Amino acid sequence: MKDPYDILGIPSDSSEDEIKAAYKRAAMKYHPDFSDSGNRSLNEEKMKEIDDAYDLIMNNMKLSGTDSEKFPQWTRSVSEFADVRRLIDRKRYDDAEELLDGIPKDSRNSEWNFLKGFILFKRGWLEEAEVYAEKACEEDPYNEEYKNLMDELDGSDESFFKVYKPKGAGCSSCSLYMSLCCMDLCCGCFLPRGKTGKG
Amino acid sequence: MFGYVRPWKSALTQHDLELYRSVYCSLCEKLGRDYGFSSRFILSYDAVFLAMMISTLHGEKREASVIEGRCPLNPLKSCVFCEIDDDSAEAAAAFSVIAFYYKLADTAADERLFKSLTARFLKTFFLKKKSRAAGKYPFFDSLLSDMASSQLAAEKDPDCGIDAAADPTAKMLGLLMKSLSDCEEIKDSLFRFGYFLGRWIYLADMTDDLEKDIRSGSFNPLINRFPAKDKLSLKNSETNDYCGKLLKQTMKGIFGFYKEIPSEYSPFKTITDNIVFEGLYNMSRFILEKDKSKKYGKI
Repeated sequence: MKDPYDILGIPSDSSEDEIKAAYKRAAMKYHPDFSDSGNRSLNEEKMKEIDDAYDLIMNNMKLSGTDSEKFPQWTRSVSEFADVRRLIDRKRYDDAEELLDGIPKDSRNSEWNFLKGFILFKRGWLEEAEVYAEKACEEDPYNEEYKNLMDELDGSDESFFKVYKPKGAGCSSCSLYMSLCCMDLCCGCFLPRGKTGKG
Repeated sequence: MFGYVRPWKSALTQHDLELYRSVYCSLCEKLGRDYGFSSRFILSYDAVFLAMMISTLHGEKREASVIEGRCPLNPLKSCVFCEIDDDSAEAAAAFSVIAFYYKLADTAADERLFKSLTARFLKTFFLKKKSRAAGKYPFFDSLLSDMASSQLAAEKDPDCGIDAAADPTAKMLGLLMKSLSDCEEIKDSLFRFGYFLGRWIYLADMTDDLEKDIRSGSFNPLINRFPAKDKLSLKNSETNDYCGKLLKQTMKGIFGFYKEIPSEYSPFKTITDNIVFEGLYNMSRFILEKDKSKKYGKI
């Protein structure tokens, strides 16, 4: 199959908006509803190709985006541990950890702690991950990256679970909303007829 | 370690409750048919969840229908059976049998005399059933035996942390979930979902059994985590809060990855949603509060 980016006529590092715009442009040109009827079957084929290319790119984007959307990582551009970060990007957590562990104790800084915590977090070892994330945050309390990891690991956040509390536990805002709705329904009864209707 | 993954009954609709019960009864029937009458007693709520997840991931069943029948354990009671795909019920039944066998082996190895003898007796009794299940599903057998051996190795390590202790169970369930789907794109999410669910089960069990483990001198990673002279003082609010934090942390992971599993077409979607989002949370609360007078809503 041809490169889907070539089919849409855009460079392979295009953003989501650019891809959508390119798709729209191509669709306007080839869609059987818009184009002239002369070479209809050719256009239909071309349109199918464009649709496939667009789906492929979008699906790939979604797949690679699942983690990064939830967790905006790598906000800093200069890093001492660029090679470790690259390995993490490729999901080679064991290799990344081996590299990290090889770094001598006295040159382990806040970023080292963060990366160690991040690898443990990805592996699901949440208790130990929190220890390292805490260390990183202590050393550098204003770093966004470290704070994000700490938030992900936060288990004390009661609000996260509020949504899932059993129904009927008495949610004050719901009952308030319900009573407002009821009052709204009643309004019709009290107002004189002429004012409620279609005028 | 069985029976923590349950729905929260108050939030189930009547329809879903009936469907859940029907899967439960079908699985019981399947166990009886494949592995003999006595196997019916090892059925657990977790196996029901597993059967529904398998059915969801195979994605063939769009609608679930139920048939009325009679309970062979209690012929006076009428019950409903679900026409769940045969593969799902069969796999879940085989998994229950193999898991139960390894659980018995574990009990036989480290409990006291009387319990150990009972377990040993049951173990030989179940060996044949287990071999039959393992013959059909060798992957389940290798998963569970790997888990048993790595659990043993982890417990031997004197500074075994909570993460390391929970890892074998978590990994086992992660690999199990991953094996259920052929779709490459969701395998990672499935593994992570299973990993966190397994971790949650281990943590729940660890919290629940702390007092018992202290009394009997069994392994419990919490005893390592909070070294104290008087071990019975461990059972205090500080430990409880700490366990609560760990459980919540883990549930956050479960919720996140569960949402990435496509289940729109499954007739069991609302039930599995209930189990994951409400059942786990309420079970955690139930374990932490541990009011002996109350029982977790029976299904």
